[in-house]
Amino acid sequence: MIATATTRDGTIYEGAFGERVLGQSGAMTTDTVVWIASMTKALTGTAAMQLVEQGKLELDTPASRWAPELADAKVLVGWDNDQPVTRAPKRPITLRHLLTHTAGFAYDLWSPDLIRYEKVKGIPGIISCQNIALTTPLLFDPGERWEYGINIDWAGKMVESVSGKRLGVYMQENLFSPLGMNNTAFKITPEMRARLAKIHMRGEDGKFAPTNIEIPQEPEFEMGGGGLYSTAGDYLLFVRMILNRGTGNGNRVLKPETVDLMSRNAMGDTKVRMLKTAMPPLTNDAEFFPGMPKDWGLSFMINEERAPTGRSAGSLAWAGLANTYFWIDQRKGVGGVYLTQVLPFADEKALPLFYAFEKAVYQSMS
Amino acid sequence: MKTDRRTFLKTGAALLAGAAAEGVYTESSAEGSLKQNADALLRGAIR
Repeated sequence: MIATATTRDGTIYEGAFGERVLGQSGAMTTDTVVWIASMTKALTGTAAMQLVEQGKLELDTPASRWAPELADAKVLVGWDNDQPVTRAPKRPITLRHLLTHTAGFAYDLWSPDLIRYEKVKGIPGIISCQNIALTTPLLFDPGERWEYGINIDWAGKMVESVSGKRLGVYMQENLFSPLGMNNTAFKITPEMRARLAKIHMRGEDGKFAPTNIEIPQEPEFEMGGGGLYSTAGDYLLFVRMILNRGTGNGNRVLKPETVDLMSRNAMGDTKVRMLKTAMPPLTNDAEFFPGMPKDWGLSFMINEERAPTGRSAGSLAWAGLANTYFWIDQRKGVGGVYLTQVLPFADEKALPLFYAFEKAVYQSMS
Repeated sequence: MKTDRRTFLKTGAALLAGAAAEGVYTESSAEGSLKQNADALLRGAIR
């Protein structure tokens, strides 16, 4: 694994341990490239909020203005024998719904209904990066509750629609390049591939084995919800930019007030809930700090109370499927990135180790 | 057997998620540098 931490001023820790591919030569290094999966979401959310700042996207306008296909989204209300029963949603989906995971979309990883729907309709999972994978139904009306899903892929589509560019190109020009994130992309370059770690899975014996899982490199759409490859150092530049309220590497990529807006609860009284697995090989049940109320800002989870690790109330955080994690504590001016490449998500060892690392960071500050 | 393992993982993940912050990994110390403590913690977990 790779772990890094930063204050507003600079990196305070970086370390890398283990191997890029179990059983093969090649040690993990701090510049190892990994699939950051859903840690992509905060970057796509940032791209969308840049366009909100510019008045090119709006948080509370029907999102179908920029992504017309969203007007066709239907709510799954039940099953008639083996056929899904759907109806029109009570209200239109907005960018706010998408960035807060309250639009009604879900992931098959945590939804037996969605697995059934995909099977009946012959729709591949979102990781296929095929456009048809974006046509899965809503599980409830927009705005009615929180459900982790393909929302940010749609937000990425909106960025493409407004900018006229592929998502990766937009992000490269407006986020990665200004911040100096030179090892972050949807498409793995040969230079990145030379430092790429493989994704490993726990077998029935509990031991990890390498897999050939890789996000499609010639995708129909670039998966703003989870398609990026990056390094700990690159992601830490993003974390530090948020800590510095929009500036990094001498460049401003967001206004301070936009960072403040992204860092506040943006979904009313709805709370983040536990993700109950529907695919145990890929994910365990997952909830950060169980029992603690958690909100969602404009692309980050927010813990309402101080965490046992030392993380302040109101901090920002999220994660990626292959046990990649980050947190940003604006109150204490510290954040960190912890990357592994192992499945299932919320792994029995990897997640507690992330908490322990985070706790060590706070202990060093006390 | 499969069901048992699944149930174990579900319950275990939730418990560990809660327990971790309470010090399942307690190798790090309030004393010493972050570099020393984090290196020891993470290296120890790999073994």
